[in-house]
Amino acid sequence: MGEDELKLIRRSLDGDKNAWGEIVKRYKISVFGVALGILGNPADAEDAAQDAFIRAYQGLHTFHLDKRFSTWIFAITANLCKNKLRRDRLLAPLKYITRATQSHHNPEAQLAQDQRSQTMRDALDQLSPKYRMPLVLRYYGDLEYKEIAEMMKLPEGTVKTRIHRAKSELKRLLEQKGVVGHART
Amino acid sequence: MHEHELEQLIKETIVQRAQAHQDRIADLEYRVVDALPDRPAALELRPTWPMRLALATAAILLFLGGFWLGGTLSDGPPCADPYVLCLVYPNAKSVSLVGQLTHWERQPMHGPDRHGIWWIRLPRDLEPGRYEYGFMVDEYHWVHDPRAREFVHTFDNKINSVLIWPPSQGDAP
Repeated sequence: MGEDELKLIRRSLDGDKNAWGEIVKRYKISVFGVALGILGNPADAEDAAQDAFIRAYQGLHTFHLDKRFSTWIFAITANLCKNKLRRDRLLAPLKYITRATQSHHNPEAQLAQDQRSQTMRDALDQLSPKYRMPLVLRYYGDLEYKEIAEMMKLPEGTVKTRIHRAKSELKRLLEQKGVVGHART
Repeated sequence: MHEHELEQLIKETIVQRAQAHQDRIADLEYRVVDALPDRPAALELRPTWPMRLALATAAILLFLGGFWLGGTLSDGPPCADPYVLCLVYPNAKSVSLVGQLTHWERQPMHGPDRHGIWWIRLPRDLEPGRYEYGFMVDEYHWVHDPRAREFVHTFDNKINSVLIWPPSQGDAP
């Protein structure tokens, strides 16, 4: 953690809300991404991100300053998402499918890329949350297996198995849609 | 598709999806700041120099007075005093009080005595209220106060002890 960030966290511990606002500004897109990756619904992800930052501020004393802040805030976010999923029983495929709006110079390549991304979004949404959550934390949040295991209160081996199964399922779904050829792993 | 291609695609897909909706969080920092609760004002637990002088004088007078009265002075921390928080943790190398009382800063506790008791004195001008706290043992382990009358679960599954001040009659501090 940078010295600057450490100062912001110390100031936040002292009750400086503007310092916390700066932390939110720095981490909001990645926290929102984690929430969106897990929940799939932008409105729910927005609520989860806001709630995560408020709860993190309230519990900032439990954060160890020598650890990565991103890991800690992602853990809070993931726990909130887990609770949300549990409450809402959002186990059915998600309704909110969106399209990225990035421009591309090559229309054909853009089409192929769009198709891949769209199919991946659909495939991610079809995964059960118990597989989607560790997958998002591993490949979007860059968390270690051990960190995910601690967060999800699961053995590390179970986390690895779930991620492996999630990837196999994603490959199967992508192949089914004809977006990619057969897996070569 | 190779493993790393799949992993990259997963990441890119989530990044793109978050970017496509980033207008939703454009003002998130302002909304969060508006919704934050106020932290209670920090209580000064470190005695100022005049306080230290007064405490030293009082200690000397108490010591001399004890001999004059022929009484014996207690050889342990004053855990029965409601202004003192105590924790028995014989094997700890350090114990700190952390909570709303200290503005969530670590305030080192005295000890251990020969019974493994760590203790810290609360300020005499402690405002009536409800204060969450805990003990940080060896700079890492979050330990609740077994003598507290109330506890709360934090969002990350830790337990905070709660000090209700002033304590009702018969309450442990």
